[in-house]
Amino acid sequence: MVSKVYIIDDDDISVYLTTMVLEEAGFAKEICTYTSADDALADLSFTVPAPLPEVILLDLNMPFKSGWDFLDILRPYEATLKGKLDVFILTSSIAVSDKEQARNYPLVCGFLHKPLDEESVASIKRACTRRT
Amino acid sequence: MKVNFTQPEALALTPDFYTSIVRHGSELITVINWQGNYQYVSDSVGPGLGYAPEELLGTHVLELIHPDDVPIIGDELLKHTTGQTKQITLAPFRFRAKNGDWHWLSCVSTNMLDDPHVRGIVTNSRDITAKMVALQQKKESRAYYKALFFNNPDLVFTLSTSGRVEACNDAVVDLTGYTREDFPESHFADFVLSEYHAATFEAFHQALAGKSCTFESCIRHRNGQKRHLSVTLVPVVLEGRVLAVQCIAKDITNEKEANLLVKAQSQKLHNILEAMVEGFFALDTAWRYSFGNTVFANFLGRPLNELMHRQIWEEYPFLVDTLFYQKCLEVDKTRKPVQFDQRFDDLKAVLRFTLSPFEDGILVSFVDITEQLKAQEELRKLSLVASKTTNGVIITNSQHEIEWVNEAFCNVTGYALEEVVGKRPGDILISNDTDSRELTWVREQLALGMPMRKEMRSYHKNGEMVWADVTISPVANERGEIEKHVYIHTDITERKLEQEQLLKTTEHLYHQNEDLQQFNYIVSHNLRAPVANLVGLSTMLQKLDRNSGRFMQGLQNLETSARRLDDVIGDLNKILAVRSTNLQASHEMVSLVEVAAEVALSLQHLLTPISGRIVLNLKQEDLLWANRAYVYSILHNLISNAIKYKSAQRDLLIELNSVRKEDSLQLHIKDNGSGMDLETVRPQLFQLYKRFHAGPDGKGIGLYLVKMQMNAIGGEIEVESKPESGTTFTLHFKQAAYGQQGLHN
Repeated sequence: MVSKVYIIDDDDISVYLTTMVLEEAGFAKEICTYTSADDALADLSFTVPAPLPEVILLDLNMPFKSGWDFLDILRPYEATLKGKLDVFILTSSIAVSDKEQARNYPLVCGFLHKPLDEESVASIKRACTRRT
Repeated sequence: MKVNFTQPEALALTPDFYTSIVRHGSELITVINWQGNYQYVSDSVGPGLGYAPEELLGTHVLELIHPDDVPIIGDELLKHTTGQTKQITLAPFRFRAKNGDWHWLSCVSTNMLDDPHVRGIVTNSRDITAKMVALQQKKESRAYYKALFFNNPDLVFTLSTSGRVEACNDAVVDLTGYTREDFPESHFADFVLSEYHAATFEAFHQALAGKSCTFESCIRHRNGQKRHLSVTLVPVVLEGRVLAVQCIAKDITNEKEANLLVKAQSQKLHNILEAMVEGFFALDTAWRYSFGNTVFANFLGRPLNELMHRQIWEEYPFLVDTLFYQKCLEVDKTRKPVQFDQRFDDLKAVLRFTLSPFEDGILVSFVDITEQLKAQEELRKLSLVASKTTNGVIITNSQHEIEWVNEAFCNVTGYALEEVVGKRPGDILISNDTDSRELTWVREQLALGMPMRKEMRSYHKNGEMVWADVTISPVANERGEIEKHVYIHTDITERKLEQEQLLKTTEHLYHQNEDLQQFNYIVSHNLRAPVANLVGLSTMLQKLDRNSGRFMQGLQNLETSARRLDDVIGDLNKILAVRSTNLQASHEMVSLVEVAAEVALSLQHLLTPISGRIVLNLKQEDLLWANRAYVYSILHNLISNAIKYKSAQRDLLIELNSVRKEDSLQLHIKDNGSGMDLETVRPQLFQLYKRFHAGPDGKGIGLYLVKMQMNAIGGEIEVESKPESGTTFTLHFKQAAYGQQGLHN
């Protein structure tokens, strides 16, 4: 079981739904939800050693800072975070271009379409198992 | 020498002695009686005259004397018989010899009729025939000389060895105008022209040396005229010594002058013919070359002397098949001159011939007009191009005044040639709204003598605008001065319109494409998001206890998601509506103040609770030619936004100000709300579903719609904003109603 997971999504219903599914699947000990990238970034401390989430489920289409903006902000820390933190894109977008763009970010371990279902959760688990 | 006379023996003076002397002496001695008959004839009559003495005895003396001499001799003898004279020396007379010849006799007669021993007239005669013949010959020769000298029609004169004129005939007098008296002291050189001295003296010295010679000289008449002479000098030689020089001269002045004239004329003619740039030759009646000038010789590349007297058709047989041959025959027949052009393919030349008949044949002059024809043809083609081309052509002089325009120019611009001649192209082609910077540029180029090309607006006579591609090329003379300009004025209105159409199409396509991308985005994000939630929630709900609180929450979320889906579909519909409306057709006169008041009224329920105010600084004449619904929607959206994002620090104040700028209208919508950090949001401000406020409302469609609607009615939107000081949207309505249908009056 993953110790901590972040859900970053401005869509409240989507957050509600994702949380429900993760709880149902007993995916994480702790589920933190953020409706904006800025809120999430505020909790992510890269300077002081602090417990990082092992998994981040990231929405792309958000006001002010999009999912891509969030990933761009993490770029300087990629080397540090790689292997400790897996980002999974969770988006309603079915555009192929988004999936292509995600390949440019090494931290992104998977591209998932909403709604999050048991199967998707299983794939996240498998990815995490491989890592550990 | 001393002659020795030997004293002879004393002579015996007997009658026999006397008889012997008389009978046998050389003189003919006769005795005639008083009647005139011979009484005695000495023997000497035999050897000289062939008579025997006795044959003559009794013959009357006058019978034997030449009839012409008889009267004289008869008279003389009569003087004896009348006793007047004793002795008479008779003039020589002719006496008939026995053979009939006449012999001249010299005779002395002595009257001895009274002498009783004689009783007759004694004649002592000698035969002087030889002497008389010689005398006669001398006389004749004198006559001949006289005839030759004085009566000669040529000039005859005698020069002394020193050169003085000794004698001359009348011809000399006539020809020189001097009298005989003038001559004796004159030297021939006085009469000869100085330039002829050398030759004349040479001839004279030859004559002095004993050689006769003939030469030409020239003397001056007393009246100053020149006389040309052909002179023959003959030395008069006597006993090996030159006594004088006889001159015979012929006046050849006329021949000489005629010759000179002929020569001068022929030279003149030659010069004329040589000076002609035309080839020239003459053919005689047998078609033989009789003359040719250098141009002609050069043209054939043959020396003239090689051609002379050769028959042209034999020399150049190919000519027989030509027009030239036919024309030659024609002129020979009609004796009328002709002119014609003939092409010689072998020579690659066209010659223009002029054939003229003349007495001795035909004169042919020709000129090579190949280049001329080529130039003419080129000129013809050029002028054909210039006049028939569909491009307008203008030619201006150095003063930039129109000299000529072609038909196409007249067709395109509606002006006739005579209307534009003397005007400047700018005067007729441009109008007040022609870009002055363009004109300046064109004038600068012209001043620099540079060719230029530009697409310009020009104007038809009726004022219609014509897009023209104008090329202006300066034409310089040999000195490099610009003499003319050639304008090629091509009507490209159609092309330009097509271009504009193409631009519009491109723009349209761009928008379509943008729309497609936008829809793609909407479908993949905004439409998909609620759908994904619906799918997720419905899956989840199936697993939940229907009576549990979670189920109820899920159900609520399900409803929310469904509504959101409905909203997105509604938004899509709005956007599609803006896109698909026939904008121009739906335009109408819109009063800004009316619409703004309506919007304010509709939002009053939101303003009142927050103590918000709207101030409308608008004028009655703020009229727009636009789609009323869009104007309403735009104002509604912007004012709603202002209400939505009011500052928590102060009461909301919204001001609407209109500023008129020429034909356009600016509307400022200013609020004192929370504002935005434009640095971050500007790129996405007017994009669909981009939200910049974390607050509860706002789906990110409002500003997108505003921009679309502004564009649709021909306007632009700008924004100025600062966080916590407010936002001002400026709407530029380009097609304000000023002047439109005059409604604002």
